[in-house]
Amino acid sequence: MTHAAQAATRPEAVKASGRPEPTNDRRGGKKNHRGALTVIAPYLFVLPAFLVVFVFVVLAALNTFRLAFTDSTLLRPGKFVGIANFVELFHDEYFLTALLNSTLYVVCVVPFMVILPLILANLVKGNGRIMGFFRTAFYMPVVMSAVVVGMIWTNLLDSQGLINSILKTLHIVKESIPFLTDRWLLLFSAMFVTIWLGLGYYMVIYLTALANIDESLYEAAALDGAGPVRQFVSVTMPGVRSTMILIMMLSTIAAFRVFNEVYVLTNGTAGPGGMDMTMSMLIKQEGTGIQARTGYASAISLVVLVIVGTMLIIQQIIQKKTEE
Amino acid sequence: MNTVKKIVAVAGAAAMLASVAACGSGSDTAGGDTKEISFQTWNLKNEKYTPYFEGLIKEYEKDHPDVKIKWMDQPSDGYEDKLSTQAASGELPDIVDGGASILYSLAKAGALLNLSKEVPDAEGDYYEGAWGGATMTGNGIEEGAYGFPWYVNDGPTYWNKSLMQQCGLDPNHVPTTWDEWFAAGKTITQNCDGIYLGTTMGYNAEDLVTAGATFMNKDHSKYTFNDEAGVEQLEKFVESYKEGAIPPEALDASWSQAGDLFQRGNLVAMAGSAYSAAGFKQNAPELYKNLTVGPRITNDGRSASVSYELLGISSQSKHPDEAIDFARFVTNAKNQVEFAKQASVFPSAKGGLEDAYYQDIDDSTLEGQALKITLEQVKTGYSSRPAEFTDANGYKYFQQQIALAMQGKQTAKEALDKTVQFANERLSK
Repeated sequence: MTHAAQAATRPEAVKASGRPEPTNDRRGGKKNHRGALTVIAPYLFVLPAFLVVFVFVVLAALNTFRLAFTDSTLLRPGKFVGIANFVELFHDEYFLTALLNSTLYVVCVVPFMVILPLILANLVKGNGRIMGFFRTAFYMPVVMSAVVVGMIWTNLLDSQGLINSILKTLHIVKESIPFLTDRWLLLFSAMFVTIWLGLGYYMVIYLTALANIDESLYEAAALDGAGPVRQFVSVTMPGVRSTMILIMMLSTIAAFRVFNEVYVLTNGTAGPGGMDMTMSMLIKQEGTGIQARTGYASAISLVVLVIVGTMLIIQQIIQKKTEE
Repeated sequence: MNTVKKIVAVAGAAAMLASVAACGSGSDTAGGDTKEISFQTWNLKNEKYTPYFEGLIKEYEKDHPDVKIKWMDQPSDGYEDKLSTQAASGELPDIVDGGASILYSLAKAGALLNLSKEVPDAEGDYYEGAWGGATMTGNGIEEGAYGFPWYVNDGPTYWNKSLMQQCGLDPNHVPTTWDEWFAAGKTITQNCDGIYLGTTMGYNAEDLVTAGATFMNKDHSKYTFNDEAGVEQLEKFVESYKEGAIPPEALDASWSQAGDLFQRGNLVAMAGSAYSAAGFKQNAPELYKNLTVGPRITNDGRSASVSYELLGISSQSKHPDEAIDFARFVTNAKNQVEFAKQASVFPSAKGGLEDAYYQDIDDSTLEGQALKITLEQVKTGYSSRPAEFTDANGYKYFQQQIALAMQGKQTAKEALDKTVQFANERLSK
């Protein structure tokens, strides 16, 4: 193409010719159409997700807040009762039991969830086939269904289960250990299952964080005479600190809202006498069924929200203070 | 290319929106003058029962060309939750299948028709006990039947003969009263290790009522099972648990676990239904050979564990007359007997139990013996669990308190007193 021809195709050259500009008009229309699409498309993409979140999260949360101050049941709208549900809560023996159990769950499970997967991740990092096998093995429980987990552990722990049979055969115990019928042993068994289930999941998160630690730091530490333990404490732990805080937060929320593990080990009964009730199980017990007390269940949900929120705020404050 | 991508994306977004919007859509009536009646059962759509229901519906539609029956079946897991969702959203099917406690909750919420008022002549079609089982009263419910009685269920006690012999019991003389039951528990714990008598321990209303306790007063305004007979009976269960006649897991046990223990040969006796015999034959043939049956344990010779399945009619039904007519068709004597034969249950419609099928039961097999014993129980028995004693209104709490009594954390009297207080408070709400 000659320079003259190139110049002739330029818009300004066409404009300069003084002829009408139908082509430019058409181009302008297309541009406007495209512009409108460009503006609308992102909103259309977001709209379905927004609607789902708005209806099933925002509206539901607002409705829960409203219901918490009513005596409504599933089939009856109920009336405003002020803080009566909250007053009843603190006289409800099962609420107090659930509060204690869920708090204990956080206190006992979270430290293990933060430390054990990190140790595990440190042990299985690397590219070898054996490491790959171990990573898969540790991650396996994460993909198991709650029903399968329940069946495995119930068969292991019941009075005639594998663990008791072995202990009795080896004459370590005379009577079966009541893993599934003693209030505290049942709770600790459920905690153990939670840790077993969560190890692989948090290990994968730690593996990603470990990959970001500069190898030269380990080399420098080794040159300074640091052994594996010292390297772990002085290099690895500071290197994954933000991940540790994330996992602490995630596992705190999960532990306080524990449901599956206790549910499957107790067949939904919350243990003998309901003494292994947790907050989520209590919400389910009160908030489902034809005679569901939706007002009361909402009040429990609100208390859970406040407690979990407070725990997270405290963790944030501690984190900031530590950073300072 | 970009434009094409955008168009595809916009179309995709629109499709997602449409799918979200579609969640709320649905049609509940057939076109034209046809009246569509929705009929909901639970756990009955399977190879065994589907042909029966399809035949039943076909026959009815043939005689009623203006009516279309839409049969829906729900899984047993979470059936109550499903019903509650349907009732709360105003989409309760025209005809709903459920036990008395399920229908009680719906009736209390005004979701079911009072059939005593709608069709007063229906009462004469059913056995007195069955109609009584469907009748609800008190606590804000207008007195009347809130469901057409359908099939009736009960069952014998299955006994493992080998274990009985092994543990010092006479397999030819199975216990039938509570004294014999507790004595059998003692004998087993003295002679066998790791073998239990059963999982029965006062978790059900009949465990107390058959020993003389009165569960509720006549006008259904107060629970009374913490009377002397109730407390005494629970104390005997606690004693039996301490002796080791009841497995610790039974404190939490679901029905399937009790069945597992029985099939594993750790349990001498288990209460079951008439059709459990066929299940043992199929799933545990070795155990089946060692089984014998006896009646449910009771001091007065009457079973208190008879349960009635009912068909309730939605008060929101657009075609209540047709719904009532179809429900009466399903529950008439002829159709009930036909269903009962297939399901090893019993009819509640008058004349059903006089059918030739029940007059000549072959009791040379375990299944026949189980059926025969259950038939006698159904004829004279009753349901001891009041409809209002639902999971939420006391039944669950009752089991929890009994478990604590078993573990020695409270006395039998404390357990029953607390439960009565809890259930009475719920009753008044």
